[in-house]
Amino acid sequence: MSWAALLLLLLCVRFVLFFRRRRLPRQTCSVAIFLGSGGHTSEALQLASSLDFSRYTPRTYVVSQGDAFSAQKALALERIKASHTVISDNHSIQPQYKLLTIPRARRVHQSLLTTPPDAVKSLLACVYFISVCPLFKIGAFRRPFADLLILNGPGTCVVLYAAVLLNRLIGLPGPRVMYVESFARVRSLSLSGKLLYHFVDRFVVQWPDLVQSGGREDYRGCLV
Amino acid sequence: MIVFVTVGSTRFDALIEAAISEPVLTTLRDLGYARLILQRGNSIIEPEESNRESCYSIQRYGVDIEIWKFKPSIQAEFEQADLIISHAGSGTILDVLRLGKPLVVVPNPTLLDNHQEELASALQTLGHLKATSIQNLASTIASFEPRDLVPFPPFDGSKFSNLIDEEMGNMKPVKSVTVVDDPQVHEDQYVHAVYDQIASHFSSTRYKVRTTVSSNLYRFNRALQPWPIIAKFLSDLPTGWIGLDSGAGNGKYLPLPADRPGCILTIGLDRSRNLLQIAQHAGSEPGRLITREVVWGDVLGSGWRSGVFDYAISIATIHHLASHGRRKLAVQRLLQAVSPDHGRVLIYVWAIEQDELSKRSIPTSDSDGSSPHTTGEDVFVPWVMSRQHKQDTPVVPTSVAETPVYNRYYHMFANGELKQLAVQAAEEFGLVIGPRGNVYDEGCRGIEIVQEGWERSNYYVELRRWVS
Repeated sequence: MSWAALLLLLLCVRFVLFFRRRRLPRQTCSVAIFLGSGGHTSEALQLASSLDFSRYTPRTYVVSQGDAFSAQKALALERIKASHTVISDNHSIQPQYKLLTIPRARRVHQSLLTTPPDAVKSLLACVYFISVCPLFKIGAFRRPFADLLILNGPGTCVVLYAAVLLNRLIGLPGPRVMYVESFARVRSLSLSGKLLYHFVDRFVVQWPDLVQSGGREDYRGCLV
Repeated sequence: MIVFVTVGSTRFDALIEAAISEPVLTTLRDLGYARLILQRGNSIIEPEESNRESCYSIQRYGVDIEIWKFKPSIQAEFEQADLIISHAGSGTILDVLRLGKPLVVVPNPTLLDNHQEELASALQTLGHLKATSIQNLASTIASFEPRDLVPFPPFDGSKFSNLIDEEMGNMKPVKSVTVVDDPQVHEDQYVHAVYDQIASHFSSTRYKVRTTVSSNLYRFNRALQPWPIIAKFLSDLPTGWIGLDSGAGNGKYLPLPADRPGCILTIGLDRSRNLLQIAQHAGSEPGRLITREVVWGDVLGSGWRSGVFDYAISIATIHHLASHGRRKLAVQRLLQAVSPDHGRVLIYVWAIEQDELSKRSIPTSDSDGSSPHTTGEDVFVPWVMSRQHKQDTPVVPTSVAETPVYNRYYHMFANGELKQLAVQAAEEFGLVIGPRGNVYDEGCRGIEIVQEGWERSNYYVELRRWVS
């Protein structure tokens, strides 16, 4: 019985994913980037540095609680980008970004037994930022949390995705989600990658051995 | 010479111990390394030293050793070091390789999910670094030849930004511009120079994937399907007609009509030699190289005998001319080139009104964009040098040094502007506008607007010359 319910839920999920809306092209695109700590943060910010910040704006950096390193690195990137921007006469350039802090879902090497309560706390925070907050934005009811969410691991990013999924299931506008597997993963996907493989809108790997024939992953060489 | 040893912020006691062990230090000393700077991160060196201050120096086996918990600027250490020995963390590896420094990595075998090993051996296979183990560290350093390393390609942000653009519906903005200098100078800079660059980019991709020139041209051309109205126009022409493609670009329309190839002959004219080299073999297939007639020249030039062609097409060309007068002259050159009594002309230009399939987002002068445009808009459209969508060969990682962005100039036509331009051009050329009728004197020359409209973000107009 419970299996049938689970199957039904999965079918619903696939259904929602299948009928997700394709966004109309716009002048700017808001983007959220999850900074997972250490190497994940470095890679995510290297990816972010590829973007044209005048078009991909505003930017939201999602960091885990207590991860000062990621927050500092994100601010440093914004400073570098701002110093490279030629200030034009008609608009004063104010860096358009913010930092969001969410509780960690799972510390590296945390036992799987103690993970669930932390994960729930983390999920609630994500739901708050992704589904609840946009509802209270005056005049911006239809603007989602971001147009695009970039994930590259580790664990907490799965929780962030779960919140996006929940948001979609109740029919609210949510971001498109792109998962970029770490450059460090050469022959096998990370746990987050395996979990998100079938769900994210685009799944990108950086080594050719990870490309399965007929798979949905994109491979464009080393991106970082 | 200086050697820098780092384990990032991780704990890797074995590597730190090995780095200051006798075999490694004597090897380094023999190779001429007098200083060793070590960042231990969270590693613990020896029990009695774990409580010492964050930085201290010792000397062992003739090597000056500085031990730090964390160096304030690790990037500066990488830069001044002549050799770097590191754990196989991807961040450190990328930082060091991008600086072009010789790197020896030791994957940490105590990590449970050991992908450091995979990364190290993959990069060693590509020749970018040397991977070794704690036991073999000294012998690896001794036999290491930094000159044999393959330089790691620099960071190429265009790969990811293109991916994102694709994902978000190819949002490529255009910028409004005002043509301030001489239109011809403007075109030289923002049209001709750019197309020559783009064309050479096509050829550079061609060499990289190491397939034959012809097979790539075939693929390249096949990827661009002709627009229905152009295909139909060419397909309806009588057999034996000879025409001009003024601004032929890569020669996309030279092989048409597809249903009866070779029944008409289209000669391609373009300003870009590099594009013409592609156009010259447009429609070639692997093993069957076809050579087309192409001419290097300007669409405003009058190199043709008047009325020599049966038809002329100008597809996506006139919108690159930077003044109304020059666009009008271009239309007149087309009218002049075709036969006065049966010449047919088809012109396509970019429209301000873009459909939702369009890859471009257009700046609207008014806030909501609801009021229709009456005059066209001058814009720059960025062309970002990007690599092919799918790699034919698993080149990893690919090497593209920079991602220059070229601004192409366009005049985007407003609704009705193209027809008006054609009418004005024809009137000044001494032609009567309208269908051939009996009301005119014998020998009166005119032009009929056969059809005009909007197709997939472009305006088009078809004209037919007549003599009564």
